[in-house]
Amino acid sequence: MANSVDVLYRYARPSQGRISDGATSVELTTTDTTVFLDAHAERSDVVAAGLLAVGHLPGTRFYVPPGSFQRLQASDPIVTADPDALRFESLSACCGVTARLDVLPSGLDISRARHGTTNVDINPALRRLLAQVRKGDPMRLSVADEGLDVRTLDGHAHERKVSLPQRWVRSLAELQVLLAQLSLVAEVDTMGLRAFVRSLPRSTPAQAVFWVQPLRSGLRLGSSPAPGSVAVGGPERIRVLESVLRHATGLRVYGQVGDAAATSCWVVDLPHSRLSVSLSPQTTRGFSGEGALLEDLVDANPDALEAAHGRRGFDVAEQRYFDRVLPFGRDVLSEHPRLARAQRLVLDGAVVADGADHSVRTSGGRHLVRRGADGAERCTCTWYAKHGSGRGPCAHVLAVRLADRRTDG
Amino acid sequence: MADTESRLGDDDQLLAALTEKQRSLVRRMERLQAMARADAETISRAIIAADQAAVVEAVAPLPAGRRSDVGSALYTVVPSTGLDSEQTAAFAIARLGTATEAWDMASSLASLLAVPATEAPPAVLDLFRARGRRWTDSVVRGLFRPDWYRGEVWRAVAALVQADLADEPDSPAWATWSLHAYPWEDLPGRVRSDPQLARSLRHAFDVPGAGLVLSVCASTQRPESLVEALTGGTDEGRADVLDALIGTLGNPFTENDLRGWKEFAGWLAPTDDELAGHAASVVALLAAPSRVSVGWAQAALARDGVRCDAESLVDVSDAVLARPDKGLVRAQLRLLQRRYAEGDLAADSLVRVLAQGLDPDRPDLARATAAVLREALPAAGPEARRDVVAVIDARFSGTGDALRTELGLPAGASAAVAEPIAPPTPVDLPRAGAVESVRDVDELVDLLARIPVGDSAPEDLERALDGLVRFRPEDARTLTALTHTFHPDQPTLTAPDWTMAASFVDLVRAWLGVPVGAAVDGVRRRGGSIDRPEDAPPGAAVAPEPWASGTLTWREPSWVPPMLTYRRMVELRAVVGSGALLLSTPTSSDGSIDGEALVRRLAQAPESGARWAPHDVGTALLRLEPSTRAELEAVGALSLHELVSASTADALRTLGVEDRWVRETMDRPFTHYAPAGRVTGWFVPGSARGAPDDPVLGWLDTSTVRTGWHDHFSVVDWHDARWGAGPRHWATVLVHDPDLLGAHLLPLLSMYADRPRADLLPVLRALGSSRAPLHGPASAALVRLAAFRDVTVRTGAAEALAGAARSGRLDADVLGEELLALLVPDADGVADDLPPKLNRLVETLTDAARIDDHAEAAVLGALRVLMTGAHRLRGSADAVELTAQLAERRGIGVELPEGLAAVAASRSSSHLAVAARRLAATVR
Repeated sequence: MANSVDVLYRYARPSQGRISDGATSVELTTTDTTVFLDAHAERSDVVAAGLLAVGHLPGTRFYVPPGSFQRLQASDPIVTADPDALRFESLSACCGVTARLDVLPSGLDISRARHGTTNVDINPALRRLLAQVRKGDPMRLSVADEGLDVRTLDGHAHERKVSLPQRWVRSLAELQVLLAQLSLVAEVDTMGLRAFVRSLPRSTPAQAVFWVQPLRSGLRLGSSPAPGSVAVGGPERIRVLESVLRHATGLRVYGQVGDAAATSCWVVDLPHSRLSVSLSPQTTRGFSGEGALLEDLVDANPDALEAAHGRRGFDVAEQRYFDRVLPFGRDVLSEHPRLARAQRLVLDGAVVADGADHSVRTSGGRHLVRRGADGAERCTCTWYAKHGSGRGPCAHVLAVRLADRRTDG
Repeated sequence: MADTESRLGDDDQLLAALTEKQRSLVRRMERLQAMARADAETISRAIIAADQAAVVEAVAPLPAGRRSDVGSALYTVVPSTGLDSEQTAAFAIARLGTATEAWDMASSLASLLAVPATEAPPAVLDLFRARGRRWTDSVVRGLFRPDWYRGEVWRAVAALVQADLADEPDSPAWATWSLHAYPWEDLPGRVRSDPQLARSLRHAFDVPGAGLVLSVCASTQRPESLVEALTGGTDEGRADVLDALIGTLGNPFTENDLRGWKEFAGWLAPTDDELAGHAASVVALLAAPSRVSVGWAQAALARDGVRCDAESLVDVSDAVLARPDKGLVRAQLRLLQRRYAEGDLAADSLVRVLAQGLDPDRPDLARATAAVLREALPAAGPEARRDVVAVIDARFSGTGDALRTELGLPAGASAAVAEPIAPPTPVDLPRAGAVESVRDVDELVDLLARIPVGDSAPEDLERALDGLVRFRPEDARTLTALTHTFHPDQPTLTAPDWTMAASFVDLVRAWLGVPVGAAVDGVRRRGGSIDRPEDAPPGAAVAPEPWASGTLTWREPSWVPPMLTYRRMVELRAVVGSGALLLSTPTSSDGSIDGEALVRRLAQAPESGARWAPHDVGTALLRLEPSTRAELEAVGALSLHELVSASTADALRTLGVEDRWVRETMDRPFTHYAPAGRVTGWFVPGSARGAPDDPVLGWLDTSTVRTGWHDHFSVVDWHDARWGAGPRHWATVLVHDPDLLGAHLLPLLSMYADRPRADLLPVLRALGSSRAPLHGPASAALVRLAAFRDVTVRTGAAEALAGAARSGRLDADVLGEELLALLVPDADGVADDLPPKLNRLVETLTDAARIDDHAEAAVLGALRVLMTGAHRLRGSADAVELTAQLAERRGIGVELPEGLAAVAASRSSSHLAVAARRLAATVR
């Protein structure tokens, strides 16, 4: 598969759990070799429901591109332990939905914890067990490999090879920029949340955009922007929240008030935890193509270079960044395709100043990049005609910026 | 022979004309072909001798570049008939070894492993062994496309894996295909002899898609064989499989996938004891994402011999009672009721979970929930009872007291009934935003590039038309930028002739100087063996269709809306780049033209003797508000007679007149793609006859709705998601007469309601924000749009209804009359045979009523009219229920019409009767 890298998930053994005498023990194995967490959960049923939601998402695809024969394999969820929360994250196979379960410190009685990020194995057997966890059952949650030596198992190690698309890492990278631009636009209570989720259509046209409008009786899905409304594409994706509805105490919607399709984040408050589901602007769009990082990458911003490897996350509920040290090497990610294309254009001498404008020669013809009175560049390519500047600059605009920088340098 | 010699002579001459390099290439190709033929002959001898080992020996060393040539040559040297089975197998091995495409390889493997299946012949394995691991891996990868199922391939790859020639594929398809790898065979026997198959079959429980394959298996495998293969015929095996099955049903697979597993559960037929042993997992399944799984779990738990932990059941019931699927909610209530009656459940916990299910937005379910609550409440403690009262008080307005009384609870603080609301008087809506002219060619280029590829506002088209006329594409850069987009071969822009997309593209091409096709001014008609023969009008050009004997075609003049908009584009082709002034460019984004602006434009008259172009002036006059036009005429600032003919001027004066409309249910013309039937349209009796190049007469001639019913939509570009581009443009022309817009839209809306994607939001916005009142035709259009399949259209329809209600332009009684006319057969039983889907309509009306008080009042008003025919309407219970709900909320008593009153008074316990009684109760 082009643009992907083979990742070998190698776990000492499958994650497992036990229910004995009403007490649940969930042992999540990781691809790391140290103990990340050993704790007791205050609300085992909530943690179990949240883990199920996060565990289900990688196997879900909300959009299959026409003519696509490849079924992307599901990447395993990742867990980040930091002092503010234990965060389980996963991404849908189409890279357009992310789910993050934040188990807050109040929800955990921690014996051991270590800051870091690793993959966790949420396998079918464990999912079965999690589905049976009841309210009030004590739950011991451990995230570790229990010190088992993989080599001694001689082939019995739980291995799974996945062609991890670069889109996966790139999506995490873009997401933190997109989430940081969102603000709180609506809050509803449990009844409002249930009524809203129930009113969601089972499917919508792939590129349709709706607006979630706050009403006196909760939220409504509208077809046009209204005061205080927030755009959401593919609202059926919000149904990811269904599995935690029975524990929900409220919903907060984060988005960008405006007319254009944009990323939105749906935060369900749960006892001692919260589940955040982020949606790309449209079902057909994965987070990876949003181009939110491109501007900073052109400027060679060191933070952006770090973020481009998916090593930063953003918590909308707390409005702060957190570190996410992905358990992959930096080498898994090649340069952003649009940026790489722009660099090639510059190296090929395809960018030529044409008065105040620039002409960019490509294999498909010549495109004109002009700077408007507002300082924003416009291009005559079909990509720009289709997306405008809503998904970051096109390769030609990037090429012009790089060429300008070269000249200035 | 002479011919052959002559041709050879030609070839010699041709060779002589080649350069030395070309001759060298020809010689090389001849050499390669000769080598390929020699190889093919060697292989052929081995095939004829049925010597598979010799075939492998000859084929295996072939270099990759030559395999295709040898494969082709094989077909010329091996006889195509008369081979026995051994020789055929040898030929298949040769084909496998020379194939370069995965499909060819799969086909060869299929013939080698044809049913009844055999193990892969040793020679096949020898071939893979000889070619090496790299080739084998690439073949296996190519063969395992998840969307491309072949059981034979699974068997072949399994043989390779068994022989340690390939790794077991890590694709989920490996497991799913295994279910169907041995059709019509003794699968249990296979499993006993092949542990790898057993492993793969068990793995199928964890991968998506296996359920779908299981559905297929039922036709090629006895279900009991499959069950035995999976369980091994032992009790332990059955327990394991049941465990895995329950786990699978809890996965987020597609509904169809899970239906396959549910079918398998039927084959497995677990006993009560087996289910009881897995009761905890089955209860957990009630919180599964899929309704299929929840339904199966409910059925399992409803069995007499299956007991489960009561506390778990109550815990998880909260998730089921909140589900959108009403059937599942009812089933869960039955389950809880039964378990409570059997003494398994504690009253307090049951009461608490049921209280959470009391939802005023789902009155039917709230009633069912209340019925179970009534049984449990007497045994519940005071705290639990207080919780129920609190929930009722918080959620139920108006009916809270009744519900408390019904449940035997003390009275509490009931939420207030909504204040009565008077219908709003029509208000002067704010003007739509101004249309800004395109400033320069660069901006025009941006606009032109955007319009064909994506959504653009309706006024963008008008801005582009204005720009195309004012500016010349003199800048080479402009040409470069646009030629690619508007190239005639650009496939995305190919559309039927008269669509907005196609006619706009032609206009831009004309501006760019690219040749465009000749314009037409009529529609093509066919008559003959397929369609009902029609007489061609006098003077029509009749031509037989050469490929369809007996079928004639002809063109006849037409002025249906798509033709009028097309002809306007054709008219503009003559003036693009001329710098001329267009009269018809709107000044507001809704499409209207400001009177003063039009007068100013008219003052810049064209050269003496010339007249304004007919579509330009006609469209401009349609866009002028009738009252403004009358004022301008009164003060002498505008003289219609100087601009258009007297008949056109007279017709224009009927624009926006209220009382001219008549509804009629008529016979729809028959065509081969749309059978005859009854349809409802709106007409203006005696409207003047239109003409293709008089937009005023053309638009106002509503007889085309009858005579050109199909023409109204047959030229809409239904291949393209943007097919709403035409109707959206109509809305900007008929901005001052929403009823005329509605009348012309109805044919399209009645026929296209079930298209999955309809780009009609701008039309809905135009209707919802209309400054003119909406009468019958526009209301009928809204009713049709409210029942579209595309949820974006339905959502937009709810907003349009709310918008029009808020501004006082929507008359609830008129809307109700349209609901009645389109949904309910008349007294003679005559009905529209394409009625709007009632369930979708009710959903849209519910949505509209939530938007604001005015919308709620308008929806209730319309539903009250519908109630007069509700008893004759199938599936009307939801509509009656909604009426009752809104009436309760607003504190308005609705007297039951005669028919519905009879239903309410009957002993029926149907949904309709219950809803009718609830509605009747609003009077009390």
